[in-house]
Amino acid sequence: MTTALAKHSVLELDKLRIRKNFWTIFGAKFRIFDMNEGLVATSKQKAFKLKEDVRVYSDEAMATELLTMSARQVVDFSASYDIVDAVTGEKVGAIRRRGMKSIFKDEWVILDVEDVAIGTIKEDSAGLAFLRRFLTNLIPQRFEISLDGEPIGTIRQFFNPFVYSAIVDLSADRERKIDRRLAVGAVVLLLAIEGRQS
Amino acid sequence: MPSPSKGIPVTCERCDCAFEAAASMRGGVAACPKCRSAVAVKGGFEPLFWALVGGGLTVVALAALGVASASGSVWAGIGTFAFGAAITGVIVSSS
Ligand SMILES: [Zn+2]
Repeated sequence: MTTALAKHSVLELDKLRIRKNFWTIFGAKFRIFDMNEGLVATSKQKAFKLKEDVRVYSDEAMATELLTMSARQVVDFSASYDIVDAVTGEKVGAIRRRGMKSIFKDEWVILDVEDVAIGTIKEDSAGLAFLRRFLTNLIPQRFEISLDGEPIGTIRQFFNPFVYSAIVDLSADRERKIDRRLAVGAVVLLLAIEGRQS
Repeated sequence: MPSPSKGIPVTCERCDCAFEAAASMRGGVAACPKCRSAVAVKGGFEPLFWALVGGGLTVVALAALGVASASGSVWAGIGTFAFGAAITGVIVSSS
């Protein structure tokens, strides 16, 4: 099925719905919609790469790259991923998993281009995170995105046995303090990696 | 190889600006301070990765020995090792 690409760029929207394509054999694929179900971007995790490599495209055919995200190391317990604007070739930042804490509660650090921590993406509750890890992964995840200690957005996962979906809401960031390329890249990376691990 | 505490020297391909990337960016990309372009920071694979590759090749060699002794043919063992090592080489070079 082909969905017409919505006129809005994925980088201009405050709310996004992300759905994972279950029918991919190798490498995760996501489709990103606005809240009116208009397709605004697609994403694909490259298969057969030792260093993880995730791309965001502005079109359904995955011909025009918007963002490229790649891991710095193959084996990295506190994994760091660089996010690059594929149109301008600029690095926009990075995210790093906070290692040991992630066993109980997933926490990612948002880094600026100099690797200075500027924000976090944290799983909502340690209790629920513990139940997800050790009892059932049917409990949907919820993450809070903060910049300089101020909440600027959320990622809410929805459980459906057939479709993995999540809603990203950045409407709390009224002043657009976070570079939306960094925000979209970070969210897609997190969902690709968390989705693979669950 | 630069020590982990020191910056890693890199040169921007777009504007030729030479600068030092933070050691934490090894294997990733740094932002050029002049034109903001993403510049690859060399560093190669980490020691743990090479340890895993070594472990993989050991498993391939043991499998090749098993094939050679089961079939009674040295060439079957060499072929098995060459096949396993070639796959490992493709994976490493594509990353
Ligand atoms: Zn430059």
